Amino acid sequence: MNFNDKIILKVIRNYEVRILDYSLKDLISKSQDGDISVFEELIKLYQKKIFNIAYRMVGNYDDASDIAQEVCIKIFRSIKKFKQDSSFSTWVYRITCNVCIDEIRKRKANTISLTAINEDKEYKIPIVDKRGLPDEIVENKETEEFIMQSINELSPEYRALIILRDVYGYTYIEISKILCINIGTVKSRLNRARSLLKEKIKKNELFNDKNV
Amino acid sequence: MECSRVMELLSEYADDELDSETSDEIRKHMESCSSCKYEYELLMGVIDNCRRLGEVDLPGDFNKNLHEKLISEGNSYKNRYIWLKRYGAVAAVLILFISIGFMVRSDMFGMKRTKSSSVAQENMKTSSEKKVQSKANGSADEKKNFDMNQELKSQRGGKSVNEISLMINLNGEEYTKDHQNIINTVYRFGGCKIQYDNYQYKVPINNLFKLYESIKDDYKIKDILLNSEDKTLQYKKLYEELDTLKESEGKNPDSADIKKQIDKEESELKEMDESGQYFFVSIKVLR
Repeated sequence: MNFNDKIILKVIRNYEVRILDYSLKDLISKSQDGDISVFEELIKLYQKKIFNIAYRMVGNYDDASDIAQEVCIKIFRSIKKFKQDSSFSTWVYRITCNVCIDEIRKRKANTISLTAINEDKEYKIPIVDKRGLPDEIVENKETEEFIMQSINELSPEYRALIILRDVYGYTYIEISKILCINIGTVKSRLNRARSLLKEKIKKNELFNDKNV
Repeated sequence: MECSRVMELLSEYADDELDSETSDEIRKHMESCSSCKYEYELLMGVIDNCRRLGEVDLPGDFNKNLHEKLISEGNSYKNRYIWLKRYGAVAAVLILFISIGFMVRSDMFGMKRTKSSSVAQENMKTSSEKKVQSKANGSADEKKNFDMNQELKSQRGGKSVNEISLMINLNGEEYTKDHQNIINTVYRFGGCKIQYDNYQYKVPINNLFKLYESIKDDYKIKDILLNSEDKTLQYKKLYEELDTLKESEGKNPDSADIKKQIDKEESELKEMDESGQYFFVSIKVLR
């Protein structure tokens, strides 16, 4: 294949990939060859969840966007190492959780505690103007904000467990594969993470009065 | 079952992960223990509220930003690979020469080096001559010449990919009011319209993706072909000169010199059009 042919393939793929019906295996295989346009199609299948996991992990929309981009780039860089006989989504979400955990640790190392962030109001949840909204919606919004904040006060490992299990409903086996820990550890950590969340909730009047 | 044991298993109980016997024990325990029952209800409330968090939408510019990062990542990967390939080979040759240098006398090594330098110079000279000669020949040689140019440019560290052009082809029957929009877009990305075909345009390859982003919602790309090297700037210059000449002709319709010049430039442009020296991209206007 000469230089010209390579360019032709690259450009044609970039324009036509949207209408081609690639199987997941094909998309992965072509992405492993370094084809950016095919990789973009592949990552579209996962990017919303990547972003949402990141958003729930860090609790900040802009940071989640940066982290999700970093995850996608990391996947692009290391996709050659992915073995087709394992689950691609598990691999993708493993990278996502690892990047998020690293990022949270990095922030902690920079002496900005998450509590401090929350106290300084830098902890960012999309602000909704609650005026004129029915009481039930306002309550739901407040509960959501409180739950988000409580999750974000947990350690990154516990956050990952709560998000994977309670937000996204992954099974214990799936979580053990994503986080590379055994099922026993999933069970004990999840129990601990939920207990910590319960403790935070017990202290919150709003939640106590209206939700339980 | 004791309360402490119930608390240990509560999470698994809530997820229905326990065997039926243990589950029954916990259920019975909670019937008589209000404290454990409260903890269970609280836990179910936490789980229920987590499940209700739902999904948020991606930022509007997510794909655009990711695309830019991927392109840059792809380039740096390519550069790293080229660097490794190129300098890896150089390093291997250097190691070989150094090894030989240890083995042979220093004057002999010197002689070898002089000889290899002169061979390299000769090769460069031959390449340049071939390039000139090839330009004068037909398109078959031109393709070869193009490859050689790429090689030469690569040796100089130039970004040869950016020196190739793109041609956009609009279907004739769909040549409508959209034409002016397309011209404006194409010009914005450093391209121009092609003289002898009202439905074709050229854009430098480095703006190909940007152009695509701005037209993709309105036009459908049909096919792309690449035949040869970039002559966009040369073409654009000729095209603009011709425009000026035609304006002058309008003012001086009898000027033989202007007509001659127009004929000359038109034939040059036609020659370039027919030689197929660009990417061709067909765009269909969506109705």
